[in-house]
Amino acid sequence: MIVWVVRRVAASIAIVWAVVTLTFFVIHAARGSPFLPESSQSVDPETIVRITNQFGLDRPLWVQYVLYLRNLATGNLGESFALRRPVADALADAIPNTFVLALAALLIDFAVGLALGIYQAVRERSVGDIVLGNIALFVNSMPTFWLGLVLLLVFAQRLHAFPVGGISDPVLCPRLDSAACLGDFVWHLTLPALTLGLVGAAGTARFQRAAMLEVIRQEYVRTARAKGLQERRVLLVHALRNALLPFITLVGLAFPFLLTGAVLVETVYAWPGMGQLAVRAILQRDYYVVTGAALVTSTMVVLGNLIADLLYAVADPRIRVRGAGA
Amino acid sequence: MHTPRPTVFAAVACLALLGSCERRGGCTGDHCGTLVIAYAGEPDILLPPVSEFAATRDVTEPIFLKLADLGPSGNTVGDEDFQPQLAERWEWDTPTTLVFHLDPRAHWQDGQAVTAADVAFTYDVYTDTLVNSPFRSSLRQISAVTTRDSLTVVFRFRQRYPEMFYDAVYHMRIMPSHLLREVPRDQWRSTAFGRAPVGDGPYRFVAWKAGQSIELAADSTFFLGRPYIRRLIWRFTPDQQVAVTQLLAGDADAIEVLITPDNVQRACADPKLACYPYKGSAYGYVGFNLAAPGDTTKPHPLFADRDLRRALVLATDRERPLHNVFGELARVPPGPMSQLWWIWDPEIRELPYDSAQAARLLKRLGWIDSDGDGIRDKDGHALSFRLLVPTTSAIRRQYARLLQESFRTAGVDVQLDEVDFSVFNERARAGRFDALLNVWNTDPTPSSGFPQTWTKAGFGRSNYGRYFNPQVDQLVDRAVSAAANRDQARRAWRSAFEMLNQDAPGIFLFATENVAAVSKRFTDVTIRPDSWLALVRSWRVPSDRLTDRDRVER
Amino acid sequence: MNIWNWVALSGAAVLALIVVGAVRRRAGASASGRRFFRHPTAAPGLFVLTFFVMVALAAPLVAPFQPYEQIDVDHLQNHAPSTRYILGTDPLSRDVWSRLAHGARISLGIGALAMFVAVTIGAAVGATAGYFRRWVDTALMRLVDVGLAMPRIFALLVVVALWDRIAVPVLVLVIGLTGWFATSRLVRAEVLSLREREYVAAARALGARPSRVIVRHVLPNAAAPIIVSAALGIGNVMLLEAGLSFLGMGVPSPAPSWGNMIADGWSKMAVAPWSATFPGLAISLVVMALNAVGDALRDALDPRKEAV
Repeated sequence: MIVWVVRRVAASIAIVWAVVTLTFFVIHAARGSPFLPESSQSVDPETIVRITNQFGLDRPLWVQYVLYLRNLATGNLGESFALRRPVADALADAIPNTFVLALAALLIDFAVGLALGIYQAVRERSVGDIVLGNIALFVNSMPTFWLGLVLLLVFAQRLHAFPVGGISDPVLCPRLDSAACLGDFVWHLTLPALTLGLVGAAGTARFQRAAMLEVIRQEYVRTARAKGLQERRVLLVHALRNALLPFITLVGLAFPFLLTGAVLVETVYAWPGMGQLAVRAILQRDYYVVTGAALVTSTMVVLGNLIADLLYAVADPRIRVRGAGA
Repeated sequence: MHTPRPTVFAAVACLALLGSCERRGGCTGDHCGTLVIAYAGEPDILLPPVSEFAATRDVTEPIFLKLADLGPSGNTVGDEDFQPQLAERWEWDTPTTLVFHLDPRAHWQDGQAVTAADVAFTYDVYTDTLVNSPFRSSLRQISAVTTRDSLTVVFRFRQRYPEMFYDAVYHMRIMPSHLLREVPRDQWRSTAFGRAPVGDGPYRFVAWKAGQSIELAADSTFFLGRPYIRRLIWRFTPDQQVAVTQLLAGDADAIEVLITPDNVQRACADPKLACYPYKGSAYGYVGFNLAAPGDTTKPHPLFADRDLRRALVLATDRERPLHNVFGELARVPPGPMSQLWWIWDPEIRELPYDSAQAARLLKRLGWIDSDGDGIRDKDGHALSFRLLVPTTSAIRRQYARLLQESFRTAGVDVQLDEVDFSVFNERARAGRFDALLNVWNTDPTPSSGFPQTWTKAGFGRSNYGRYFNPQVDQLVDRAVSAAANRDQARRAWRSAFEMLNQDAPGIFLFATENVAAVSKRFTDVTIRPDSWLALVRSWRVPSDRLTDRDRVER
Repeated sequence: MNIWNWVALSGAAVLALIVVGAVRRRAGASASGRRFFRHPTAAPGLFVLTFFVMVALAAPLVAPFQPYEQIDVDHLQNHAPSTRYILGTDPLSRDVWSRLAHGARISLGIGALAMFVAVTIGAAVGATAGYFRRWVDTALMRLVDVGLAMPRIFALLVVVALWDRIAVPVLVLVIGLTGWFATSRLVRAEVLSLREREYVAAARALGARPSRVIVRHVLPNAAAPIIVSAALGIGNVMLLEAGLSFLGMGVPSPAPSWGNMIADGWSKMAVAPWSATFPGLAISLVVMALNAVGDALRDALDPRKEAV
């Protein structure tokens, strides 16, 4: 088991390293000296000199690469020319926002998806199952940013039930320093989390319904029924436990989906998270931020997969026995 | 299984309600109020000498003072219509020597007094080539700024001309020499002061959350009178439509321009908002690059040809796209000018919209559709160019599409290069474009902005297309400096514009009329067209109309 | 919409119905076909897909206007849906339905082509990895891991933004290049299990070249997961293209795609919601149909159920 964990962690680190390397070389392949802004008028000469020295921008490519890695190890991810601050600082501000959004979306995703999936499995082929199933299918097929625009229009603009984007009221709550401000934060979080979460929930519901149905049909459930236990216990205890296994893999899959969806949802709602930071940096050709964001997003994806694999191994003894994974 | 969402929502609602309950109390009286301004964009740095962003101008307006400011009439000639600010009075020792006496009550927000040394330092910075201020050329007529004592400053000019006083006071915001003297001149664009400025104006800088908001607080010791509104907050949005949405939802209190007719209609019909129309200071145009993209030594393969440019202008209907985008809220300008300029005259001669003549001209130049694909060609090359447009402006994107289609019907293929605003600026400055769709926010008078954009003085600055006609330059010089009276100046300007129009360095598309919207709870709202927040310190919220946001005490 | 447009549109609908009916009859003959249509959403999904493909193919017939035609920029912009403009006009006074129909060509085309690229690469890589195993397998699967570690839209944005102007064919290629990873894993899994079957061993014993074995014997039997992931993948590509256009980096103007129609129309959402809503609905419907068909295919082609 320990061996397996160590191997997986080592593989994960290798993957992140490969992503960063790939990003670095792709960016360099496309343009000559991309790590400097196209026009130096907007940046003061001292910054340019400093960056050139730290990252070896006047030296051969492989030297630049080595210097970049070394700087990475010391926490220097370069400077953002558009934001005029170190990339690490900008990321440090943005990541918690994306994290909270992803977490909230994940909660909604699983809560709604699980409930819906189980309900549908229990009431298989009823009117409720079919109607909900189609609605879930439809929501799962929508572009997430389009759903965001629609929700914004209906709930924020027309009904004034939620704020029109942003993360907090700049007047009443510039900092998260009171219970009221926490409530304000949650109020701002609701629509973006719903947008991300509902689309995912629909997929989760479909998945969970199928998993539950498969388990329900299996022998041991019939055995449990034959024993005369209450139907409810049968479901919740036996079927759920086994149906939860593939559910855990969803955690790993959810991460990339959330990060992908977060990019667009953050743009629609002006949520100051990493997705928005990365998009703006890409559009503004702010390449240190881009490589920094690539590093962080791939780390999060790989981490999510790792955690999912660990949970899976913990939950399913068969995996542990088998030992070395693929 | 019962989904917990309804109860969570109720809990959140209770918390929010509780929050609002907590805040009752707080500020009362006349000097409360929070003005939240929705703004599409963000300043780059809060240091006036090094930034030409409109956002910077808006935010630094309440922080830093000028020597004197424009009066309500907007007249830029002479000195009678100007209002004292840092200077309490002034006199002319000779026709080219102007002496300012600073108000002894003026002080920086860290306590130090504002002295004549600050003014001299500011002039030095604005004209320093290392700082490379975009306003440097506007100050070229001033030969020296010296101090006579700690409260007396002397401006010396190279010659007499009508707008001397305007040039002395309008372009420079006085900077604190004791805080900025040590900053190396080539590092001004990134100095920390620019992220946390200390000024002498009615408002103090409080905080700047990058990408989100900037907050200013009223300085109760401001020597010209305590501002009424306690706090100014700019909320930055990714684009104009989001800003309008925030305004309509009540998340923001004010917006500088509503731009489109449907926004104006929605905002003015809103019972909580009041609309304020005022003369617009912006004009938009398509600028042709007369030099080869990326190489200013060679001429542009298409646009160096004056006749081709003229044909393209003749082929463009400017009224209908304007009506599509702006409705009645803009007018086609008779040249590169905004409605704010006193020389605005629809009678100025310009190239008309005449598609038949355009077709004839193009044919005469050899551009005919020989392969039947709908696009004219000559010697195997299609008549095609790329139009550079910033993605951040919905107006320009819409115009770009309208123009693309209208050119297509004339047999010209236009491809759109839609890039981020910062990339747009870099490419424009570097000359790496065929044509670009640009908008200028102008000064109240043409003498500072026009030469920067349309004469040789603007090469390397705002004259992105490198248009140069020595006769136009001469006429402009005459209009600005030599004209003894307004009529002469007007005639010179008119000739300059007409000559420029014949050269067709661009297609002048729109000059806006602005409509601002401010929440009705604000009274005494006066807007000066050249800088809409110039008089914000007299805006107020009567104490019976205070809301929770207004009562916040910090 | 004039009478001929309505005729063509109804023709498309009728044709789609006929096609679905024919497929249903043919499918009734086999067990997998019956399994396919046992899904209640399979037939409607197939109908929707066929209908939109018909509309895309017959776009000039069903669309009363050219997609780039700005009918009357002065007076007809943001016109509400009416008999003449059944889905209304957009802010540039272009007929939304005409753009939708022509946009179907581009959006569906990009979806299909990009998916084709992705599936081809994914199948090739997965089959190679599964067949040769050992270090080839390890190397290729590490590559797949790296590919899956970066969120797809992020990678796409980086590539698209690096080059100033991107032509549609290049866009298709790039989308395809970022989407083959999941397919390769599926194909590899299938190939690993198929490798030990008798007919494959026989072919190898007879001395056939690996490529021949893969193409003639292994891949046809691994077709099931390929087809299913292709069906589901097209939907993903369409959503991606919409997202890219929303950020300003998709299909360039004036060519219509459902994604850039949303981008063009969303600033007027409050006063003229039709220009952004209908393309969004179209995308949702097509992706929904693809999901339904993909699900049904997965069940239908599941070899484990052959024995039942």
